[in-house]
Amino acid sequence: MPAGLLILLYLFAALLPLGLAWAQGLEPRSIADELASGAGILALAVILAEFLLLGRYRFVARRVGTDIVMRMHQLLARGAAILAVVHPFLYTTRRAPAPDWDVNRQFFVMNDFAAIWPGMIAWLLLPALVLMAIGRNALGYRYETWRLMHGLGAALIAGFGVLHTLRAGRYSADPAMGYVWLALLGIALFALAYVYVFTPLAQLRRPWTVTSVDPVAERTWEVTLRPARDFAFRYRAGQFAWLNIRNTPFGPHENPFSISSAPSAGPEVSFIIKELGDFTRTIGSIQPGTRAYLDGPHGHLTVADHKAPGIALIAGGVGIAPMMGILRELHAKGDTRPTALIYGNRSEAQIACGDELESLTREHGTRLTHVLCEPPASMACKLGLITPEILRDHFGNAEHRAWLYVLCGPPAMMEAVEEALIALGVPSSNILSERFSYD
Amino acid sequence: MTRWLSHLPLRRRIALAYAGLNAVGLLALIAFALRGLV
Repeated sequence: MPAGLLILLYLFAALLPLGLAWAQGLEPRSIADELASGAGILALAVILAEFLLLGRYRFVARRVGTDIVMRMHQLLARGAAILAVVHPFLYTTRRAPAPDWDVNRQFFVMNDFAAIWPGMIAWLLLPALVLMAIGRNALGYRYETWRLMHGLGAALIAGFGVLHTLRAGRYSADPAMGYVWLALLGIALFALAYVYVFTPLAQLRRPWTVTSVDPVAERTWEVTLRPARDFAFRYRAGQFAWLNIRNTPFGPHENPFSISSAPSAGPEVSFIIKELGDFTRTIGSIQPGTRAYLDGPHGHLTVADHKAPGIALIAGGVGIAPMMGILRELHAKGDTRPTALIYGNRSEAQIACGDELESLTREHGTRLTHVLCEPPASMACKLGLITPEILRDHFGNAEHRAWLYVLCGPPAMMEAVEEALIALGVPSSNILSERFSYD
Repeated sequence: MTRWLSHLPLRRRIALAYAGLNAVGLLALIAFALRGLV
């Protein structure tokens, strides 16, 4: 689905309740009161639309990119939280149980406790949820714990928010608007169930078995899985999948990892994983034969759809994982386009699949440049970080502007490389990247 | 305009899209609140 159409659909969903409220033709109250009601309506609509921006629905993420969808999810939730938090303070009209003659709540703002308490719970939970998401790393939660709390919290906020607006809202008293709220809530909860119930159910029918766990660099492993039953997993080199090893597919025990294998190599799928968190620190202890589940493929970090005359792969650290998949696939397919790989690491010990990279790039004719902060004396490489000068040395000619650039690595590296490439005249449409950390 | 957009880093394009969505939402909200004045 094109990005422009997605944005229009999003705006339609977010603005529909406000438009319906307007269309009711009720006599407007004071500007402050209308602003208060409007802010509450808009905030709730955005919150419900957030459930479609989870990055797990391919019809949403395919064209825009999973990471961009996730980033919009983060940003839009913050705006909705601000609107939701301020909206009760904007009312100026008397708060009291509305008398029978005030049918349209023209003169009184509902203050019945039965109508207010769901809103108070949602009002407390929403900013807490947003702050916990922003400070997730600093707060030190286990990823699985945070995910569970985030999903449950979001479902509670949506449910209590809709209950509040149905009981207290001046405009939501209209039956048509009430049905719209219930429909939006239904869609939101279905979206959540799609990730936590329907996808795991499908995964049960497509189990995987770990066939090997090999060390490929310092604290870095390549995990290979094969289908435990007869099914095909179709993906493109460079994509990623949510990997769940040892646990039931029902639950928060899955993490996104880039696929490092080539689709044309067969049914086995590999991931290069660095020990960085709670789950990844246990990777080395996983035994062959362990049951695993995959949700995927996801992501757009793939060269398969691009006809660029050359391909540049620029990786930092474990960002080499999708590049290995792309290189392996290009070589297996006999792709004749010129290629270059710039691979940054702190030390030689962190270079993943070093020997294979040497032979693969030599056989495929790929220009390989290692960039190390702490290089050994004997190694031919660039010193330090992947700088604009290194990029100019490699891609400074006019013909390189039409190449496709694939970036994967630490956010700071990707931003610096992207800006340097744009400064060299490369259009941003020729730069592919995926990042999952912005704050 | 198109050329300018095509040479913006991803982070700034996301910020632009976010600002655009916010602007549309806020305009709709203000129009809703002020509709009694018309």
